[in-house]
Amino acid sequence: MKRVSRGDWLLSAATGAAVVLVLGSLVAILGAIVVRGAPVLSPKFVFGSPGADPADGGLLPVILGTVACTLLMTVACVPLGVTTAVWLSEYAPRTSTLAGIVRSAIRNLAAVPSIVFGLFGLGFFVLFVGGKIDSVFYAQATGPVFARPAILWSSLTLALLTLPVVVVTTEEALRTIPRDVREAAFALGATRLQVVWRVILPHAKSGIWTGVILAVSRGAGEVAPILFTGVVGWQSRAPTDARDGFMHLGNHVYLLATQAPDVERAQPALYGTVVLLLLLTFSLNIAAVILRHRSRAGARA
Amino acid sequence: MSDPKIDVRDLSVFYGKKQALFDVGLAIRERRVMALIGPSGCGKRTFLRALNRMHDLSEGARVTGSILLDGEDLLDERVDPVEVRRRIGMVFQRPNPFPKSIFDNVAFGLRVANLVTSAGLSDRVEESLRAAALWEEVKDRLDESAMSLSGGQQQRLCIARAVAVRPEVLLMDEPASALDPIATEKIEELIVELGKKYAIVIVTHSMSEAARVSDHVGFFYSGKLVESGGTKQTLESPKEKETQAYLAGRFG
Ligand SMILES: Nc1ncnc2c1ncn2[C@@H]1O[C@H](COP(=O)(O)OP(=O)(O)OP(=O)(O)O)[C@@H](O)[C@H]1O
Repeated sequence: MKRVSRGDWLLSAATGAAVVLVLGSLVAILGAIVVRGAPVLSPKFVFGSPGADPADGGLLPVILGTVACTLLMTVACVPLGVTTAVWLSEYAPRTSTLAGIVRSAIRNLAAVPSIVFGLFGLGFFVLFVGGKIDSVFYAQATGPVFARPAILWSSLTLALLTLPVVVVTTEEALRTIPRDVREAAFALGATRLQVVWRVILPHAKSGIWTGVILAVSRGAGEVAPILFTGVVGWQSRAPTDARDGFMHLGNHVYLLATQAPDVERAQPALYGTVVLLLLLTFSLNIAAVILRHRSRAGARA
Repeated sequence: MSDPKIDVRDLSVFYGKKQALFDVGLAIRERRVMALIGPSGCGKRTFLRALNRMHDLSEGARVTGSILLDGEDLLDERVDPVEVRRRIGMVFQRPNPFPKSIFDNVAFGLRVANLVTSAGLSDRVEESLRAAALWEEVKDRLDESAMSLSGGQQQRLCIARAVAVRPEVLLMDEPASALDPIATEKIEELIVELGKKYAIVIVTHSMSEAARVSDHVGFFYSGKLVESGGTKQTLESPKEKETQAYLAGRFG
């Protein structure tokens, strides 16, 4: 057998070390968090209502707020993202300037730091859109109705942040559909809308789900975009109205780490909350993966 | 002779600046099969796709001249290409069923055109599958995916799908070229059968196929229609020297 050259040996050693390092840090991070956080996850801690000291837990409204915000975000960004992708790939002429502008706008949107989204959300959604709604419909009200931070505005801000992911993955999925299949539909006398609705979208379903998964993963963990647009530190209940403020696990972690009355005593609660945030993100992800799998099985059947 | 079903006059097609078809005139008769033959890149497919306005879908393609279907010009701006494609069906080179059930594939054209009530739908699907000689093979598995069929069955499904909307003309783009000999034979029998009901235009690379299925042939050469006429007569004693050379190259 040929002797392994020194270069090859070095390369495999380096690759091996990299793998160990990556896996090692993943295990170390998750391990440390789970070991410290898991013990405090009692039913009361997780499903109770918040008391005077956040270190005692009572996270139900926080969990509900996080879920509601993420779902609202998904409901807002997926239809918009998919429509944009369909327009780009099925309607816009290949040489269209407008399509070029939209594409580069989306690429740039993806590169904007999330705190900037937060500021934009405050300026645009809360103050501008909310202010307009108030001045038109609630001129008699004593205080702001829509022109204040609310779960609605946070979700829309997050939707904007995750929009590029949905557009790009959907466009990718549309591109893989064979030209033959489109032509078959047109040749049968389908209009463009019917081709999109009955052939293209079903064909791209699992790709669209991938976009949803990525959007949820990204959106559920972001704190910066919701910071000025709707999240509140402590309130006793979950939001019941789109105009309510809400609590969010990501923000809660930050609060426990820096703003708790006794930061030392809040440590276990902090890790417990992190574990919950991770669990929640994972389960939203898994739900989307299952739905994607179903849609694939459906396409084959 | 009666008026042709489709009367093509001065048909030219351009891809961008490049002209692919030059002033083609051809008559396609009711209940006859017309085979388009010629070397690769001669414009047969370009001609075929002009007939159901598929060129509308590709950017940069431009069609001039006129295509009279029962005297009405299909290239008129006021004619809706969707309407044209409901009257002129198409079968493609590679079988291209939708990833849906067998039933839904055949029902597709009926549903998009809202042609029949849901009660009449299954009758129409059965009728179309019978017309495509596929019914016996699939009648117990209409809910299964069309992808589970063999290539030859898929192609017959595509034919069923095309005839379901009861078009007046059927266009076929080398419908048997991706199939094995047995499946090819079935498709050819089917074409002969369907040719008794419809005007059919078929693009083929195989002279023997043209001889077996068609009543008329049109020979294309570098974007021009060189010669057309009865199949037997044109294949056996072609008038033009390009046709002679091509046929000689093929057979000898
Ligand atoms: N979409 C297109 N854009 C640009 N040129 C094209 C396009 N389609 C076909 N052509 C060109 O037009 C000419 C005629 O092509 P066409 O496909 O009609 O020939 P064909 O006789 O059907 O060939 P084949 O037997 O190989 O399918 C060819 O030179 C081809 O390169």
